Amino acid sequence: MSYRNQIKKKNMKSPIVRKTMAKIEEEKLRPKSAWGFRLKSISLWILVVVGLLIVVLGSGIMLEVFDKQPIVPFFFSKFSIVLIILSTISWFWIATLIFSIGVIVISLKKTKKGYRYSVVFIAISILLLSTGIGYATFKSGVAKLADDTFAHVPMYRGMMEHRDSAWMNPEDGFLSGKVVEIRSQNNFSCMDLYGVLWQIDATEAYFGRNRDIEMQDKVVIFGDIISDGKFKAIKVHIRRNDFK
Amino acid sequence: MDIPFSDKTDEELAELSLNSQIAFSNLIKRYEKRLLRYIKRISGFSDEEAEDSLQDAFVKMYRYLANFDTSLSFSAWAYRIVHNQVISQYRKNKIRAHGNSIHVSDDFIAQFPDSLNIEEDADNELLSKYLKSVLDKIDIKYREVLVLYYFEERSYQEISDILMKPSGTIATLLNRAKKKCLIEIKSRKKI
Repeated sequence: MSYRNQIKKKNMKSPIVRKTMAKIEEEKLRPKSAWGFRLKSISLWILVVVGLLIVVLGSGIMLEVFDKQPIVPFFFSKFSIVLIILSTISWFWIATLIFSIGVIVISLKKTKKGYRYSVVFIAISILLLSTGIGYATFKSGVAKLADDTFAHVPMYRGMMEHRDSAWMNPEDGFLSGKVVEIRSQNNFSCMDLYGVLWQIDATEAYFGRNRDIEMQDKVVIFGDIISDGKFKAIKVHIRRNDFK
Repeated sequence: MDIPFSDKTDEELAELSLNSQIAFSNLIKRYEKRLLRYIKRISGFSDEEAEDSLQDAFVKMYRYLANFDTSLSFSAWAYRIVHNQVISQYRKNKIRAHGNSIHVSDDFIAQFPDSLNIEEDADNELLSKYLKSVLDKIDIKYREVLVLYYFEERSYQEISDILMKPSGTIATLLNRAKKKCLIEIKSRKKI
C-alpha cells in the first residue's frame, strides 16, 4: 500500500475526516479560484484609492470655496449671518466627502488586515491625510482648477450660483455683483446678480486684502442703501480669480 | 518519494491541500479535536451539533483555501472560520434557549480563578458549577474572548485575527467579560 493510501486510510478512521471528505467528494467541491479573491481585493483597493482622491480633491475645493467667501465685518450683527454661512457652505462636497469616507472605511475594513484598525482610527487618519493633501491642492491651485472644471457641468454651476446668491440682499445690507464702471477707487458702479445697476460710495469702506478695483471684478459689498440705486459701502470684498 | 505530511507545517499543508485532498484530510486530523472542544466551549452545542458545525467549517476552509492569508498562522485562520460558522449557526438555532450548558473542563477551571482573584481556598467543584453557570449567563461575545484567552491561550493579536476585531477592542471585551464574571460570581456568593 502506498504511503498516501496509508495516510488516507489512517485519517479516514476519524468520523469528522470521513464525513467531511465524503461531502467534498459527493458535491465535487474544489477550492475556489485564487483569482476571485484577488479580484475582490483589487476592487476594494481601487475603491479606497478613488475614494481618497475624491476626499483630497473635495477638501481642497472646500478650502477654495471657503477662501472665496468674504469675511463678515464684526459689527454686522444685525443680519442673519448664520443663515448666510449655511447657504455658502459647499453642501455638495460635504455630502460627497462623508459618502467617500464611508466607502473608504467600509472598503478598508473588508481588506485582509482591515479589521486590525478601528473605524474611528481609519476615519480620523483619512480626515488628517485628506486635509493635509487637500491643503496642498488648494495652495497649488489644483483645487481651483478642479472647481473651475466642474463649473462646466450645469448642475455644479447652478450650485455655485446658489452660493453666490446668498450674498445678494441689499435691503439687509449686502449685495453681490460685478464692477461695470469705475469713476474712482471709491466711486464705482456695480451690476447686481439680478441685473440692477448700483452706484457704490466706498469713501469710508474697508477693502481687505485687495485694494484696487478693476472692471469685471466680482464683489460682495457690505453697507446700507442710501437711496434708489445708491449704496454706501462699509466693506468691499473683491472675488477676483487671482486675488490670493 | 513522498515527504511525510507529519513533517509539514500547517501552512505548508494548507498550500498542498489546494491540490491534494489527502493533505487536507491531514489538516482536519490535526485540528478536529481542539476545534471541536472550542465549539463546545463557546456555543453550548450538543456533540452532534458541534460535529456538524465543525464539518461545515472544514468544508468552508477547503473551499476558501486560496484565500488563506499566509501572513497569519493557519491556526488563527481555522479558528476564525470555525468562529464564524458557530456564530452563524448559533444565531440560527438560538441554542441557548434550549438550556444546553457550556462545556467547561477542569483545566479551564484551574486556570480561570487566578485571573479573577477568587479566594484561593475556593473549592474546585463549587467553582466549576459557578463558572458553568456564569459562562452560561454571559453573552457569547464575552464568552468567546474568555475562552480564547484563558483556555485556548491565545494572545491578543491572535484573538484579534480570529475574531477580526482590533486588539484594543479585544482588550476591552476581555476586561468587560472579566468584570461580568466577577459581578455574577459575587452576586451568587451573596445568595
